[in-house]
Order: sequence, then structure tokens, then C-alpha cells
Amino acid sequence: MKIRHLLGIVILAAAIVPSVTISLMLLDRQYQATQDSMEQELNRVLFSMSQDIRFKFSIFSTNFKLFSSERYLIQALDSFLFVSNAHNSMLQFVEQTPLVSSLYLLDAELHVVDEVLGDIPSYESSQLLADAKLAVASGLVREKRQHLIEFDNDNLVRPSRNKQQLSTESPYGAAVLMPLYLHSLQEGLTREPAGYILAILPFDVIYKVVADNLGTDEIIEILHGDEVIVASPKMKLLELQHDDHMVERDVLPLVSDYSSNQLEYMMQLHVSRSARMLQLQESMNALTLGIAIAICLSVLVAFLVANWLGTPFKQLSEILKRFGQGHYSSKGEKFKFSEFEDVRHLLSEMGSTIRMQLDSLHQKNEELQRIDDLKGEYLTKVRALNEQLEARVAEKTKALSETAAREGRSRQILQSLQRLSIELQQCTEHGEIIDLCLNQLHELFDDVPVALLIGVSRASQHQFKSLGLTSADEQWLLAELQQRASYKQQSLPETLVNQGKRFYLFDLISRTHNFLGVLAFQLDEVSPQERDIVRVFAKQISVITETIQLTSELELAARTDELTDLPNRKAFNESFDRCRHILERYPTNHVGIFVIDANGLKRVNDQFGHDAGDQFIKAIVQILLDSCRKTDQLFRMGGDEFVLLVQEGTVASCERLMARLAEQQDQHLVLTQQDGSTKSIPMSFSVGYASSEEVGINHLFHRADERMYEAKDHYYKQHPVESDSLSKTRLS
Amino acid sequence: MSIKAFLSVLLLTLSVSAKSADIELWHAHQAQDFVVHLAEQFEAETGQKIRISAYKTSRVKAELLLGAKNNVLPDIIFVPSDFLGLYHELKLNRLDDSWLDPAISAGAKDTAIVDGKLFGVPVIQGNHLMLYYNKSLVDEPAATWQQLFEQKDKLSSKGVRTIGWNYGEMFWFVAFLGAYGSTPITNGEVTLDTPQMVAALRFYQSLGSRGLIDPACDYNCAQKDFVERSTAYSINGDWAYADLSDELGEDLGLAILPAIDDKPLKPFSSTFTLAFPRVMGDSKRQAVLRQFARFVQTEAIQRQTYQHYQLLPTNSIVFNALKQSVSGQQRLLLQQLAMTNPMPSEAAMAIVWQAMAMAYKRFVNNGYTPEQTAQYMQQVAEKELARFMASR
Repeated sequence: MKIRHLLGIVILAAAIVPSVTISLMLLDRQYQATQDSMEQELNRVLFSMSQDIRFKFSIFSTNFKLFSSERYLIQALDSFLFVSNAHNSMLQFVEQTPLVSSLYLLDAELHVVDEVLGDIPSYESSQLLADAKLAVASGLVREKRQHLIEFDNDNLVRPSRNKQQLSTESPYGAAVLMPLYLHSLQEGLTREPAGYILAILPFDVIYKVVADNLGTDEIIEILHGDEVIVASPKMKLLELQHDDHMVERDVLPLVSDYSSNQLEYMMQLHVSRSARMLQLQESMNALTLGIAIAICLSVLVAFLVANWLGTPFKQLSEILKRFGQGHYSSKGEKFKFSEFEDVRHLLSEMGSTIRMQLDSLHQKNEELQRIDDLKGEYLTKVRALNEQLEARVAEKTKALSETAAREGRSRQILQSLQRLSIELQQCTEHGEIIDLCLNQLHELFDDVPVALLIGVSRASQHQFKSLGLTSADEQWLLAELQQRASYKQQSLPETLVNQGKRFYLFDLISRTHNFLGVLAFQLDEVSPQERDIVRVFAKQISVITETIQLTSELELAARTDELTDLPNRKAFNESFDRCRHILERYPTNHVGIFVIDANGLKRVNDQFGHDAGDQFIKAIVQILLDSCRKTDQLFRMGGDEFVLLVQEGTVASCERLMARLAEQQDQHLVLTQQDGSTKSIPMSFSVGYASSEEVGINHLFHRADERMYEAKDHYYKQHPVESDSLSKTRLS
Repeated sequence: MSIKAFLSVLLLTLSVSAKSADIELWHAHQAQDFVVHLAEQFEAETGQKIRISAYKTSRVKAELLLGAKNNVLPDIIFVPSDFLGLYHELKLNRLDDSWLDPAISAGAKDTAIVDGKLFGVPVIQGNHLMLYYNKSLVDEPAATWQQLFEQKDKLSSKGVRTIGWNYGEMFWFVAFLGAYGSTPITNGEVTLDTPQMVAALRFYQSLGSRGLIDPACDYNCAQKDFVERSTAYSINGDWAYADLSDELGEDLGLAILPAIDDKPLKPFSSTFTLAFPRVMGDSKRQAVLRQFARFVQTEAIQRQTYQHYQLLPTNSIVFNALKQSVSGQQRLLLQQLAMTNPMPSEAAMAIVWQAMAMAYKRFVNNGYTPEQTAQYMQQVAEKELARFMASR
């Protein structure tokens, strides 16, 4: 809290509090005065309404008295010829008298002679007529006096609603009865009235006279005792908000100088409190506005005074603020008050002392700063050294980790190699080797795509498989490897590249340096260590592959005739046994056997040497191979004897083969002799066959052999020179 | 100089010499100028001044009756011929034929004879209702009420009401009763409670309920609306022709009253007569009065009556000449006259008018049926007529 602010508040409070207090008192007085005037005004309104009705009724009463001496009325009672004139006069009276809704001209017995805006049947049956008769009989209806009768009959007052536009529908009314005399000018005689004139004053119309003077927030009702005779239609709304209105009452008398009696009613005025309060509010608003302006002016003056008094405090505050910020000079600023001037001097002297002490402190600070800088440099160097040491430690740690990883890897590879070596030794076919190797390598080198080709041998065709290669890469690689493998002596390139993909190749070489196959990896780069590992693998595979090849070739040699490369007797026996087993399982299948013996081999050997005999045999073999089907198998049983094992060998098919062989008989082999001359040697063979369709399988060979011999016999009978061959023994 | 001319000059000379106090004349004829014209002409001829008092039609009878009661009657009254029935109450002088011009038409003379005695001098005849229309609003006047109903919507679209007349006045209603073949008094008897009356009341009521006419409109209102072109048709007496012609000029059209289907409306016709209450027994004054009576019947005055005021003369010579010469709309006046019922002049007629008016009010205001109304008319008329005759 600042002193000048406090000072300002005190001055403001001193200005406002009295103003507000006075204003509130004024407002209260104003409110009271308005309330009082409101009540007075209500009383005035009621009084003026009451007076208005009295006045209008009085006018009516006077006019009615004058009208009662209208000559047409009196003449109409006497002569029917005047009735229409009386009617016109009555009509005129009703039109000119707002309080009256209808008039009845009555004869001495109160029968209707004529009426204006009346309802004769309703009148004749009304209580009003009874009351009027009673009044006449009782002598209440006197000369020149008007007798008032109240009634409750909606039919009698209804014409008033047509005459004037009324908002209420009350059945109540007041009737004014006045006697008529034929000779009205003659005073002092006791006479019987010739008739009566009756005026109907509905309370709807009386209400309208009253209501015309009402304000929009005022509602009136007329009561007879406690019974409401007529009330504004707005009364229903008012009943809903009964807390919001004030009520005043006053007497409403119907009486005049000419009436013989008086009817008395009550008027009840309802005024909407909120609507009245609006007026009060308006005057309060005006007063409030005046007070607000006065307070504003007080505040303005208080503000100016507070500002004038507060300025030195503000200046002093600013000097102190600057002092706090290090500005110790306050020369040139003069205060209005001497007390503040003394303070300013004191501050100025204190400022000089402080400045000197600050200079000394500044020098010490500079020295401390230099020391601090040196300390900083030293710390920087130590930090750099630490960082170097940490880097070297990290480097060493990484090298050690890599070494450990390599050791682990080597162990894994060795274990893998060991496992592969064991498993390879159990393989008997190239297919098994390939599957085993590909799986092992693929696993070892973390799913690197790998392929293996094992080359052609005498015993088998080349075999190729891959793992992890796309089919396009696989086809491309196979074509490349086949092409390069056909040049067995040529060394393979280290890598092949296809569409950006690099393939590393490792050849499989036998101990005799023969090409066995290729191992391929799809890798971007291969480390020397990995290369070594793969080479060890390749070596392992090479050894096993070579072993299998050698074994296969040995087995092939045991079942092959060396001269003709045809399968030999051992092979025939194995094939025939297989046929036998098949026929036992499938008896509807048939097999045929042809036993063939070349004619004249001995003579060729003898005449032209064994080389010629070998050529002779090869030529015969060629003829037989040309004649038989691919499914048929030709075996050399030894010397010049051959067996043809015919699949699907029914009798018919054997006969057709026999016919084809017969067509090939008697061809000639042209021999070139050592002297260069040529010699044509006739070639023929004896054939006997049998089909399982006609002979049991166990007797099949025997039957064919017998028939061959029969053919042989036949041949030698035709060629006796070559009968040496008869010395042959039967094969079976 | 002929004997006739000589007698005239002699009479005039006598009259001048017999010049007495001013003559008092009361009347309620709408064509007030006509009455003034008669007086002025007479004064110009004789120097005898006539003071004229004009009354409202609705009040003149009562004023005369009251005057008679109080012995304050004028020398001359100029009234419709049906007033003559009240000759006793009005204390009228019985006249002889010397009061009549020899050329007076027989029909006109009959209207002035009551109970076999002459009580008046008929001056003009007709006094009957006509159909007036505004030519700027109506191309072809309706000949039947049906045609009027057919024109109603077209006129409404222009903001014009179809027709107006003094709807509550029985003189107009009697024309409708005439269409059904009846009159209020037949052969001296009151004939109000008749089927014809019931039918006429029912038809008359329908005109108001179907919106053809405003039932609340009286004589003045109807005439004002017609003059201001707020209504296209009006039913009014021949007495209004001059006034209406002044107001509407060339737009005023005249036609026969519309028929109810094939039944033509039959209004009452009567005469306006001079009558002479027994005020003074002075023979000289009587002579002057007779001189005035004969003066207004002269051919010259009778001719002027028609020429200036379009009122039909009672002088048979002038009337016959008029029938020969008249054309156009004027002819319609005579045609309509030919289709009227003469208004009875007996005293009962005055009672009947009152009885009809009273009953009609109950018919309109108190919901009486046409049958009840006709019955009530008859009842009141008979009762009041008996009372009236008893008081004579």
C-alpha cells in the first residue's frame, strides 16, 4: 500500500460518503412522497368517478323529468293517433341519453303502449313489472318524482349492447319510473296518472361511463353489497396476480333531486402496483441520475486534490526507485514540501558514499574474474583428456566384442561343418547332398540365397537346386552354370552379376582335379573368412560327391557290356525279376521276350579278326535298337546273344516286332580292311519270342529260346556253311 | 272579353277589396317550392299574403291534431287526402262544389269525399311511389326483384348497395301488399289479417335478410345514399322527382316498380288536397279561401304545377293534355299511376297506419312471425278503431 494511494482513498471517501448518505435519504423521502401521492391519487380517481356518475345521473334525471312532460307522450296515452309521434320522441330521447338503453311508455295499468329498443314480452314477464306495480300500489310513485327500481334481467338490458359497443355483459340494471298526467299544467289537483314512462339504465352502460375515465393499469368493479354486479373482463387476469394490485373502495349512489328513493352501490378500484411503480421508478431514475452526476463531480474534485497531494510522494517514490536501480543523482528536482526536500538531500549524500564503495568492489570483482577464467581453461583441458580416454576404452571394448563374436561364429561354423560332415557321409545320392548342403548353408549364413549344381557324370545327369532365389534368378543362374560347367577345364569366375545382384561362385573339384559342380551365394560382399568357410564346405561336398560318383560308376560297370554299352546278363536278370514281380501284382499286364542270336559271328571273327567281329556285333546291335520301341530293353547276354524285353508284350505286339525285325534281316556290313580294301559281310540273326499272354512267366524265356533255336536251325539249313553255330548251347 | 274573363276580373276586384289579415297555411309536402310558388302567384294576383308553415311529414298529423285540440289551427292545410278522414278531429269545414273547378277530374274529386261529404280541394294527384335509378351505375333497370338480386353482386363489387327506401315506413310496405292483391282496408273493412299480408311480410323481410337493402335506413338516409351514389336504386314518391333530378341530372333514371315474379307492385296513390279547418266563421275570409282554392285549380296554375315541379295536375283538361303530350320518363310517371290502388280517405286509414306500424315493430324487433304480426295488426286496428269511433 502506497501513502499516496491511501491518501487518495481517504480524500475520495471523504467526498463520496456524505454525498451517498444524503442521496439515500433523498431517495427514501422521494419514495415515501410518491407512495403517499399514489394513494391520494387513487382516492381522487375514485371520488371523481363517483362524482361523474352522480353528475351524469343528475343530468339524466333532469332531462327525464323534462321529457315526462313531452306532449306527444301524454297525447299517445289518450289517442292512438299520437303513438308514432310519441315513439319518435322516445327514440330521440334514448339516442341523446347515454345512460338509457330503452324506454317504455306505459298506461295507467303499466301495460305497454309503446317502447323504444325494449323487449315487451320480457318486460311483461319480468320481476321489474311486479316491483313497479307494487311501488305504484304502495304510493311510492309520486307526481314529479322518479322512483328507482333495481332489477336483474338480461333480456331487458340486452338492447344496450347493440346500442353501444360494450365490453361487459351484466344482467343488472336500474329502472326509473315516472308518472305522466294528461293536464300537466294544472297544479294543485289530486289526480291519477294517465300512464308512466319507464327508463332502463343497464349497469353495463354505467360501468362504461366509469371505465372511460380509467387509466390502462386501472380496473373497476361495481358491487351491490358483496355481490359483483359488473366488472371489467380484465378482472380474471388480475385475480391471477392478486399480490400486484392495490384496492380502494367508495360508495356509488344513484340519486338525484327528483328521485324519491336512492340506490346505493360500491365501486372498487384495482390498480396494478407494478404499473404505478413504473411512474415512481421514472421519478426515482431522474433523482438517481442527479445524484450520480453529483457523486461523479465529487469524485473528480477528490481525484484532482489527491493527485496534487500525491505528486510529491510519487516523485519521492521515483527517486527511491532510481536510487534502488543505482541512479543516485537527484539534482534539479525540487519538492513542494521542505520535509521531502530534506529527504532528497540525505539520499544524495548517501548516493555519493555508495558510489565510492561500489568502485572499490568493482576492482575486486575484476581480479576474481581473471582467476575464474584461468580455472575455466584448466577444467576444459581435463575434460578433453577424459573424452579421449573414454573413446579409446570404447574402441577397445568394441574390438574385444567383435573378436568374441568372431570366435562364436567360428565355433558355430566348426560345429556346423562337423555336423555336415557326419550327415554327408550318410548320403547316397546327389539329391540328398544338395538338400542337406543348401539347408545347412542357408541356416549358417542367415538366410543368404544359395544354389548348388552337381555336374554330369557317366552315371547321372547334372542336378541343380537353390534356396531363397527368385525363380528368374534361379533360371538365369542355372543357364550360366551349365554353360560354364560344360568347359570343365576352364576355371570359373569368382563372381557373376545379374541385374545388380552379385553371385559368389565356389567350384567343387575332385581329388583328380575334375569338375564336380558349383556352389553359388547371392551376396553383395564376402569376407575372406567367410570365403574360407565356404571353401571348406565346398571341399566337404566335393569329397562326398566324388565318392558317390565313383560308387555309381562301379555299379554301372558291373551291369554294362563294355563293347556295346548295352546292359548285360546281370542287368537282364534284375530287370526280368522286376517284370515278374509286376506281373504277379498285375496279372493283366503282359511282357514279351525275344531271344536273338547273330548268325555268322564266328565266321567273321575267323575270317576278319575280332575287331571286325566287334564291328559286326555293334552293327547288329544298331539294327536291333532301330527296330525296337524306346520302352523295350535290349540286353547283351554274351557273345552274339541278345535278349529283348518287351513291355506291353502281348502276342500281337510281339508279332508286329517280329515282323519289323524280319524286315531288317540280310543287311550288309561294309568292312575296311587293313590294306584299305572293303569287304561286305551279310548280317542276319535268328529270333525266337514268347509272350506272357500265351506262356507263364517262369517259362517265358525258355519258350523264346526254343523258338530261337528253331529259327537258327532253319537258318543253317538254308546256309549250311555256317553250321558251326549249332554247337552253341542254349542260354536258359 | 268573355263572361268568364269578366267574372274573373270581378272576383279579383272583390278579393282585393276584401283583402284581410294574412292567411295561414300548414303543410308537409316535400316540394316546398311548389307550395311557396302557389302562395306567391296568388299574392301576385290578389295581393293577399299567405303565411306558410312547413312541417315534417312524420309530425304534421300530430301537430294538426294537437292544434285542433287547442284551437290553434291554420286557415288552410295542404295534406294528403287520407288526412280528410280525420275531418271530425281536425275540425274541417265541409265544402260544396263551388270550391272545385269544374274541370277537376272525377277520380281526384273522389279522394276528397269522406262519408259522402266533400272536405278538400285536390290540387295535385299521384303521390305514388316510383323506382328511381342511377344511370351511371345501372345499364338497364330491373323489372323484377329477381333481376335486382342478380345485379346485387356486380354492384357490391363496385362498393354500391343495390337499393334503398324508408324500409320501416308502412306506406312503402303497402305497395308490396298490393302486389299480393290486397289492401289494408277493403270496402270500408280493416283487412290486415290475411294470407296476402302474411306473404307480403315474408317477402318484405327477405329483402333485408338477403342483404338487398339496409333495414335500418330511414327516408333521409335512403335519399342521401341515392344522391351520393352509394345506392344504385331508390324507391321514392313522385314528389321527390324534382329534387332528385336537381341532384343527379342526366344520371337520374325512372322506371316502373319491380314486380314480384309476375305480380306488379301496387303502391297507394292519392291526392294532395287543400282543406279548411273551422277556424273562423268570417264569410269574407271564407271567400278568400275559396278564391285561393279555385285559383290553384286554374288551368294556368295546374299547367305550371307539372311544368315546373313535375307534379301531376288534378285539372282533367291539363291532365289529359299532358297524357297526350308526355314522353320518355315522364310517361312512366303516368304508367305507374295507372298501376296504383287509391288510398282510402276514411278515418280508419289513420288508425290502420298506426296499427300496422306497431305490429311491424314487433315483427322486426321481437321476433313475431308473419302470421302473428298480421293477427296483431288486425287486433290493434280493430281495438283502436272501436276506441276512436267511440270517442267521436
